[in-house]
Amino acid sequence: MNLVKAVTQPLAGSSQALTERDVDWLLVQRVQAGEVAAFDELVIKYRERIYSVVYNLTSNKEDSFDLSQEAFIKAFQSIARFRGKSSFFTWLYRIAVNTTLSFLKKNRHRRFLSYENITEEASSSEVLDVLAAKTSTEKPTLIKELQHKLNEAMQTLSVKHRTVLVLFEIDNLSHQAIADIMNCSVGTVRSRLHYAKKQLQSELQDLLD
Amino acid sequence: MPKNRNNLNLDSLLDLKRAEKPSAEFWDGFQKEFRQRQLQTLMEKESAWSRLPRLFFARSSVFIPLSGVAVVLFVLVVNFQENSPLHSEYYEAASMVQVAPQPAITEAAVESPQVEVVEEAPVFAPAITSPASFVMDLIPNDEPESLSYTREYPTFTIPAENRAVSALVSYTLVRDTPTFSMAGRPRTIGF
Repeated sequence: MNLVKAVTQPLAGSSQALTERDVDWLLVQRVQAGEVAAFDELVIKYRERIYSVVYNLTSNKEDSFDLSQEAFIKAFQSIARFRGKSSFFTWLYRIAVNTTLSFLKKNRHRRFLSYENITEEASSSEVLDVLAAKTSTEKPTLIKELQHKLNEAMQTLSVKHRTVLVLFEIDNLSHQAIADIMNCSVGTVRSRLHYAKKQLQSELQDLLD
Repeated sequence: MPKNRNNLNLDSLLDLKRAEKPSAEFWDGFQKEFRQRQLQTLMEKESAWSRLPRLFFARSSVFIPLSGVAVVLFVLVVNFQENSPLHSEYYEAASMVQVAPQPAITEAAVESPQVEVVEEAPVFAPAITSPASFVMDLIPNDEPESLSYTREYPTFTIPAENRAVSALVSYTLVRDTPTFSMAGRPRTIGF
């Protein structure tokens, strides 16, 4: 993040503040000019979000590591062809989502789940206290059970519905951004999102009652 | 979305999903791994041509048997062409033309009492070792197929390695030259 700040600070200080998209475009142009290190800044900037999308789609941390790496390498290999018609962020997300969807399609019959750790803040949330009191279970055990149920419920969704749900609910992208990434209309995104939430809710009914 | 009595809804459950994050150390490893892969990509880009032999050997289980089959097919096709009827007819014709001129013909004609007749068509006169009882015996009944010019290019002056070419030239000349017909010639010549 420090590297990104170092790049953006002098630019932000100029007469006209640059948008996120402009900053990315400048970095892309530097990479296209042969400055390989500039791509590192883009990786550092987006690695957490890309990893998060991939992880929430696969529910497997080892696969997510490999797929995120693959997505960044693919982006690096084809960055010379990037003309800036869409934002770099949309383009990169599209690569990551497509790479993951291909992987899921190829390996649909041999899937297993492996989870990331839940952060400290989430562990001390009110929701967990309520649930722990309700089920009279130890908190660490409850967290593991919840995590497992959540991830399994996510995996019951179709890949398209899961992608929309992850991008909207977890990554907080707008409907338009999701439509750009998934190459479909905003209406389709809304419809898929509605269906996905409904299905997930029915899958997690026993927790929500 | 309506919340239930324990303030537990889908959004609060999805908060847990959002909280699934790798540790800070994880990103150091991630970056290191990315740099290695990036370097590897750059090196592969530079030596794109060097990948060709590697590709061949990686797929050698396919390429080697295929190459073997290709060689066998080539040999079979070449053999088939050599033994085909057209091919053998061609060489037969070529060899016939090559052996057609017989220097003995003139000598035979000289021995024969019917020198004048033979001299008119020395090429078609057969080699006769015994004296002829009739003039008719000296004249072949079979009509000659063609005239041969190979006398102008005697094969014994052509080096062995060039004889095939000579045969080809002779065959071509024979094939393209109008044949001399003996059909109208009276058989009672010499009487």
